[in-house]
Amino acid sequence: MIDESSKSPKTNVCGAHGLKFCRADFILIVVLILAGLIPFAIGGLIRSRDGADGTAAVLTVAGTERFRCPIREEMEPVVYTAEIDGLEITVSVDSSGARITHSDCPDQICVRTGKISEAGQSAVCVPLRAILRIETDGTPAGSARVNESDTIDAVAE
Amino acid sequence: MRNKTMKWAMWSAMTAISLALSVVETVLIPAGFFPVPGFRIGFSNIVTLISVYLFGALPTAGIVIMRTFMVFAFGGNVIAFLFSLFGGILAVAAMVALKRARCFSMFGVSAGGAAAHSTGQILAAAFLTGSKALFLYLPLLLWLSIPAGLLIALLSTPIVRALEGFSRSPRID
Repeated sequence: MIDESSKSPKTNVCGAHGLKFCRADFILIVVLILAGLIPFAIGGLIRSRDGADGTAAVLTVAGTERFRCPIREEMEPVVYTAEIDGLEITVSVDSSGARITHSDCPDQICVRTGKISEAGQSAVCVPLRAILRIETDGTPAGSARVNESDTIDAVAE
Repeated sequence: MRNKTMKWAMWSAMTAISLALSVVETVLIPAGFFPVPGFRIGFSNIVTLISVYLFGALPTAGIVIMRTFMVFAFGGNVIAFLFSLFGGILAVAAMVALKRARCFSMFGVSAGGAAAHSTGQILAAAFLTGSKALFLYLPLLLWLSIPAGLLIALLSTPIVRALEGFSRSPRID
């Protein structure tokens, strides 16, 4: 390959018109990678302060939370159906955990994942971009909480 | 750029190209191709990046906003529209700022823009759902956006070289 930069009228390869990867770019990328760790650090802090004692089933679609339901010892089973671009996904939550019971996706991997109950576990439906996961949902009185307080489920507690 | 009409023609063509790239990407790389929900390479950002270099901040913002509106009109949903709009505007702002810093090449500008785009989307998502827990999803999206941004820069480099000869003179601002 011919060195195209020699044909370019720009002399400063790392200036405003630089088209070549340079050291500043490298530094920027390292900073960005490190910046990606900040949410983990903050999340860990909040979580440890929270002293979580409960869990909640959370359904997100394309990164957007659609449904959240705290899992409690004594609770009526909850069934929720989300529609995503005309396709449906159904989750059911009861005291022992949560599962995706139905999905209009071709591979059915999410349904076959079965029941999940431990915080951090998830059932993923890639074709519908839906994730059902179990989160810690501890809300000791007076402490900060990770999760929003304005969902119906939280109010219904 | 030679005159006003030429400018508008270029901006319009760029908007059309970015819309086409966006639609083609959606068709060729279906949602779910990457095992990360919501992630896409964003080939239409080739146009964003080139526009930042050739036209500057405002026309680029205009192109991005028009593209986002049109993708929405071509069958997007409101949530995706708000995400892209917020992410897109933040990405343009980051690209312009990084370019003006004058110490980054197109690769840094593009990677920074891509990272800003992810952050903007998460911010929009967190704002819409009121769920701060979404920020835990940011690292993955942010890290994936860096190679995506570098790829976009790689693809844009020859285009900027060719188009700079076309415009009257390189923009220095």
